[in-house]
Amino acid sequence: MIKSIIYKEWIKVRVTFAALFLLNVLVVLSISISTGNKFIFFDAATIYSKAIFYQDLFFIDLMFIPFITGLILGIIQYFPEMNSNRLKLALHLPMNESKTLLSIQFFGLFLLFLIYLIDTLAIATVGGIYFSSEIINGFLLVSLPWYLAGFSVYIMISVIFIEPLWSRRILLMIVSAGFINNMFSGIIFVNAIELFSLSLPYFIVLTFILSPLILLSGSNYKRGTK
Amino acid sequence: MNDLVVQVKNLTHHYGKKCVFENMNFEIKQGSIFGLLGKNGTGKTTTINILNGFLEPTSGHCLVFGEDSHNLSPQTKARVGFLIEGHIQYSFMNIKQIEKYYSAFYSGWKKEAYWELMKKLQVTENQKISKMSCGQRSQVALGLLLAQNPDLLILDDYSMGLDAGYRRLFIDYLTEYIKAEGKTIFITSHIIQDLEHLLDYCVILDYKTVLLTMKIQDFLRDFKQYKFEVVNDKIELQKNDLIKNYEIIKNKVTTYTFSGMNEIESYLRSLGIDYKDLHQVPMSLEDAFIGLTGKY
Repeated sequence: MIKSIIYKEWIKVRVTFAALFLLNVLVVLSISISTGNKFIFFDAATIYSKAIFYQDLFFIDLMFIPFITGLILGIIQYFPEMNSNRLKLALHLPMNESKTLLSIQFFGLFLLFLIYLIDTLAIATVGGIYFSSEIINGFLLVSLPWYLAGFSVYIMISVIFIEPLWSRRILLMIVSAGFINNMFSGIIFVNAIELFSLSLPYFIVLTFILSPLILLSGSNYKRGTK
Repeated sequence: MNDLVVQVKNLTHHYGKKCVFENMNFEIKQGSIFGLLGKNGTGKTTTINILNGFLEPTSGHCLVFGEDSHNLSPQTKARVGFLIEGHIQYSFMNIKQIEKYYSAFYSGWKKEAYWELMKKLQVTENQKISKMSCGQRSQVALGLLLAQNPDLLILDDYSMGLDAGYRRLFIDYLTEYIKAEGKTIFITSHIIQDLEHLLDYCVILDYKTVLLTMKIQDFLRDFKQYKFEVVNDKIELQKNDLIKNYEIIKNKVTTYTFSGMNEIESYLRSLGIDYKDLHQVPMSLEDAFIGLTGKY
């Protein structure tokens, strides 16, 4: 049954997934080319010192891409479910309702994970050509909250779309905006790596604690608090 | 007791302060076709939503196959086929994909029933549902329900957006479906005339209240329309136990009642109304429905 739900979700999002995958690949490709060019036009010592002392991220252009990816995937996946109350079809299936909702959400998270994994591997590979592994590891740590922001926005889209009450939707939007904003704000600090090392565990835990909120929205939807 | 598929007990629902209905009671027996009739806004879809567990009633109970409708087990859900108002399905799928999708959920899936209907549409397997007409989409939804082969079919306004041909097709398939042993249908429609020869029982809703629950044959036999003319066109009638509804246009009066002509005559005489040409007018189900609920 879960296989069948995944089949339906895949048909729904496959074109969007391909487009988002392409977007991420193009951005990473563009970063690779511009990083290569920097090493042609500037001397390596200047680039290294900027990277080490100012944490000048060569892949800063990627910053909002995981967020945009999560946002678009969430909308494409959940809008058709809520349009004309199609979610009733899924919740009427002879299957545990929580299992149905979590299967839909976990499949979306899995697709995001695939895209983010490719991004990370590509950045690590490109960076590995020019920088030492210590620098790359630190940079990847800094980028981790960007991916968490992507997961978070996707999860919150699923929760907000299914929630039937507008007042709760607005409250969830405000809380989500505040939470996700924190994941980008650390980049302005010079000691970003240290800062992220401290806050990352909290971000990771909080992001995935959000996931079961979909069950609360699902329960509200079933109660029909419209 | 075991042959009761649906039991609605003292069901009351409010949206905020607005009362939709109060103390609704009815039971649906296995093997029957039960119609929920009412004008727009009288709570038909609300009742269907409660019955399918998509709305928690303000008070009262609704049992489907003996289980609380808000907490149906997967086993019971497999026995209930549900048509959402407007024949809503996953329009991003094509007709082959959607059959494959649903078939995994139902052990007794009858794919022949689905494909038999699809053949009549003369569309390819790759036909996307979003590109189909409203009538064709209704056949996809019906085909999926027939393939599911549920014991109880709940149809929320199956006639919405359908022309006469597709409506007739729908009714023909439902008639065939009900012939199978033990199948039960709960149906709403805004086109009452289509249901006249289909329904066994009906509940008629009015704003905030249930007007009646009875066998359709009894309703058509016992509910009568009498017309007469009055000499003085300024008469006053009132709805009561005898006169369920009435209409006065100039000097022509129409009354609706469960009583006989003698009672009506006695009543008119008791009011001192000078009338002539009192006669009964036969009614279709739609006439009777409008007679009971009124035109407004």
